[in-house]
Amino acid sequence: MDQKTLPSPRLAPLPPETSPDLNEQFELMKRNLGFIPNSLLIMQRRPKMAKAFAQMTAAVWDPESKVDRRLKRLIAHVSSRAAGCQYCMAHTAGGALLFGVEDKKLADVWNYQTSPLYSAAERATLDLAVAASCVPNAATDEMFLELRKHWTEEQIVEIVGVISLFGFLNRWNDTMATPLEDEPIAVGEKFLAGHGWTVGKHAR
Amino acid sequence: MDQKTLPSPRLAPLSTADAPELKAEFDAAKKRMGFIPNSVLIMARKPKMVKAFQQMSASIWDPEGKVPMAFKRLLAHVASRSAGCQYFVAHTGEGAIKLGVEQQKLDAVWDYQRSPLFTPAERAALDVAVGAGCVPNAVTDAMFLELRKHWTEEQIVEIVGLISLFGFLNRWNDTMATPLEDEPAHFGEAHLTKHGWTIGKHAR
Repeated sequence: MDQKTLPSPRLAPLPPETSPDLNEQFELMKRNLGFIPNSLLIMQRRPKMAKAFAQMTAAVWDPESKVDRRLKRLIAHVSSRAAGCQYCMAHTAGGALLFGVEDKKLADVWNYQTSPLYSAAERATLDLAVAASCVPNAATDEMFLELRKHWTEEQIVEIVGVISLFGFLNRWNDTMATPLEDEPIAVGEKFLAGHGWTVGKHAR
Repeated sequence: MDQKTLPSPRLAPLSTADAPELKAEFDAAKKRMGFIPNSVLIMARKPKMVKAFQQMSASIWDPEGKVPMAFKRLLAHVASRSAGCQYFVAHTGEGAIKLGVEQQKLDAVWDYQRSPLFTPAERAALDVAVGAGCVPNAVTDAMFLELRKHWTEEQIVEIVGLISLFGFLNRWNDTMATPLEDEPAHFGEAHLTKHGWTIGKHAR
């Protein structure tokens, strides 16, 4: 972990008491994650944006979703790693475990093309997540042909919706160098450090 | 322009009649832009996602925002070009002109560090837009120190929120290869090809 001698010139998370009108959103986060993410505590300087962002997140993680929520967390994880966002990698790994992805499946996520723990549908999806998170975007028509063998058009919209939500989050958190919270740091150190993950600029 | 001999295996925009529950959203887009963007007509397969996305977008394009609207289009333009998304390079270029940015200033946007048309405050924000549009993210503490000389913390949240919104949109449209609509396509051909813009995979 980098030794910090000076406070970062980027934006610090504000205490939740700063925005009483975001109480509902904060409570929801606490229930879902166990803590309020610093990304939102930074964003609360524009309460309207924080509120709309929490709604957008809820729409993408929709419990009535036609794509398994465990796979959705893995999509977000793979997408964040392709984009290099260590903050979101730790968060999504924690989310995947929370929703019941087995430890060994998470540990094998970077072998998804060959690991017997991943189905053909999951492989097609994760291929797209990696490609879509590169700059320039590397998604191809062939990837969509493969995707269409396994998913409906509505499901494809959900999948690309998750990948795109993390287009927002990867940019937000890597630009803000959002300090990573204790819970995801523990997940990162336990499950991701062996694959090259470090907390880097997201150290407090 | 690529010759298309086969329909794309990616997702086609639906017609407005396919999603009657989104009438209010469609009308709002038509009023604001003069047409309904294909990005939204593709997403219409999940109406809930469209509604949340429109709110998110509205909170960032907030008319009560503290960062000038026309300059925000330039930020979105530069972030999209940094990420290589031709669809939004055209949309935001046209949008900037509609909001009153002079053609001469738009033409000079890639020379913003030296052009006398840009202020130090604009240069500092555009540096962050370029850095944040890259993978891996290239924004530095030094860029934030510069940003803080010109903008309040609330304005910085607005600036990074906008850049992050285009993190969502760049991934969405480059992954979907969203067909570019006539208005921005004409604008791109008339004004952006001299800067290397092509319609590429966004041709109908």
